[in-house]
Amino acid sequence: MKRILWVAVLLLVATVPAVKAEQPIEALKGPIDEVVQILEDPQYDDPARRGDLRGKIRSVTNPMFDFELIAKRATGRYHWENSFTSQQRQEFTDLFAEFLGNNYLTQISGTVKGLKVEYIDETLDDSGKRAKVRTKVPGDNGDVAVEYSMWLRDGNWKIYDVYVEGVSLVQNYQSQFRSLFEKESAAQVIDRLKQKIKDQVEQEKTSG
Amino acid sequence: MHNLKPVLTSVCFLLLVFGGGNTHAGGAQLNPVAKEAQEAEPAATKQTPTKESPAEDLAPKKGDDAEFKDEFDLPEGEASVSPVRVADPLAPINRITFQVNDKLYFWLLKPAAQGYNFVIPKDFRLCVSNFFSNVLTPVRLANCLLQGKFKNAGTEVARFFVNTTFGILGLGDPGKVVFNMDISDEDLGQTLGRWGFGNGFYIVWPVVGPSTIRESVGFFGDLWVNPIQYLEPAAAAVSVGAYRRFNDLSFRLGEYEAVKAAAIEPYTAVRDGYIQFRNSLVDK
Repeated sequence: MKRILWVAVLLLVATVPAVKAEQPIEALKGPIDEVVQILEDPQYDDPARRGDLRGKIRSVTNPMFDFELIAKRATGRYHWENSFTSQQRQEFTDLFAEFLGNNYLTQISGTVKGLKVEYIDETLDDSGKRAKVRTKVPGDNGDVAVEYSMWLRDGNWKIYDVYVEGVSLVQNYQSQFRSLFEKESAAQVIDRLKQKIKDQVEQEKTSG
Repeated sequence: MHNLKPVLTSVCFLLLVFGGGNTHAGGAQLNPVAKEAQEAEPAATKQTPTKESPAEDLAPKKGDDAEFKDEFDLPEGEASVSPVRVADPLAPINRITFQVNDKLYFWLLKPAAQGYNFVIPKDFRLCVSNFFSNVLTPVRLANCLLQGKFKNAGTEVARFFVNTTFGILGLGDPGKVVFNMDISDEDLGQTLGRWGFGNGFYIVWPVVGPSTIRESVGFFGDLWVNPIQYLEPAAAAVSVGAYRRFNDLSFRLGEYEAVKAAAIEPYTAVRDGYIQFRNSLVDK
C-alpha cells in the first residue's frame, strides 16, 4: 500500500511540470498562425483598413516579445546603466518597442499571402528557462533561417532575441547604439529613435 | 518587388543583403558606408559601472532585478551581449564608399534591375542563376576540400553531374529539386576563417560592398578556380561575372531597402550584420 502511494506521488510529481508551462514552440506557433490568418482575412483587403490590420497584428505579436529585455540588451549594460536616466530607460524601451513593431509590420504586410513558417526544433538549456527555437521561412531565393531565443518570464515564453541567417538582431542594434553613443548624448539617441519612428509612420502613409 | 522574403522579424534582414551568392559579396548593391572609427567603446562588460543612479533605477521592476542582471550577460554565451567587433581603421573612407554605393544602388542598379525584371521572365532569370551556380562548382568544391568537408565535396560533385546532365547544362537544379542535395556555399573567405585567420579590418569596396581583409583575399583567391575568369578576352570575363551578379541582384531587390529601413545607423548596421553573417558561415 505504501509503495503504491509512493508511485502515485512520483507520478504526480513527474506529470505536474509537463502540464505547467507551454513549450516554446507552441508559444511561437500560436501567435504566428494567428498573424497568418489575419493576413489572409479578406476583410482587410481594402486599403482603407490597413490601420486596423496593423493594430490587430500588433495586438497579437506584442505579447510574444520581452521588449524590456530586448531594449536593455540592445543598449548594452554600460550605456543602459550609465548613459540613461531611469526615465530615459522607460522612454527608450517604449520607443524601441514601437520601432521594432513598425519594422515588423512593414515587413510582413509587404508579403503576399501565404506566409509559411516551418518549425525545425527547440532546444532548452539545463535550467529549462531558456530556449532556442529554429524555424525557416521558405522564400523565392531559398529558405531563410530564423532562430528565436526565448526565456521563461513569469511563466510565459518570451522572445528576447532573433537571429536571421545567423545575425542577431539585438547584437546588431547594440553595435549601432554603441556607435551612436560615441558621439551623442542619451537624449540625442532617443530623439533619433523618435525621428525614425516618424519616418516610419510617414512611409507607411505614403506606401499604404 | 515582391521578392522581399517574408521573414518574420522584420528587423534584420541584413545578411540577406550580403549573403546570397556563393561568392561573398552577393549583390553589388549593398554597401555600407562609413563611419565609425571603430569602437572605442567603454569596455562594457568589464568594469561594473559605478552607478550614480539610485539602485532602483537598475530594475524598473523590483522583482526582476536579479533575473535581469543574470540575463544581461547570459543568454547563450556564444552570442552574449557584446557585439562581434571588427576593426575599422578606414572608417572615414569606408563611410564615403558606403554612401557612393548607396547612390549607385538607388540611381543605377535598382532601376536597371527593375527594367530587367520587367522584360525578362523570372523563370529565365532563375535558369541563368542556376547555370552560373553550376559553373562555379569548382570554387565550392575546392573550398569544401580545403576545409575537410568531404561529404559536402562529394555532394557538390554529384550535384554537378546531375545538374549538368539532367539539368541541361545546369539550367535547372534537379540536384536540389529531385535529389534534395543541398548546395554548400563554401568560399575561400570561409576557408581562411576556418583555418583561424581573423578578419583583419573592415573594408567597403566600391560597387562590391562590405568586405574585410580576409574576405578580400578569399575573393581574389577564389578567382583561380572560377571558370568565368578564364574566358578570353579579359573584358568578357569581367562582363560575364558582372552579369551574373546583376542577375542575382534581380531576385533581391527590396532587401537592401529593408535593411536600411530597419537600421538606426545604417553603416554600422550593415557592417555588424556582414561580420555576424560571415562568422556564422565560418562556424557552419
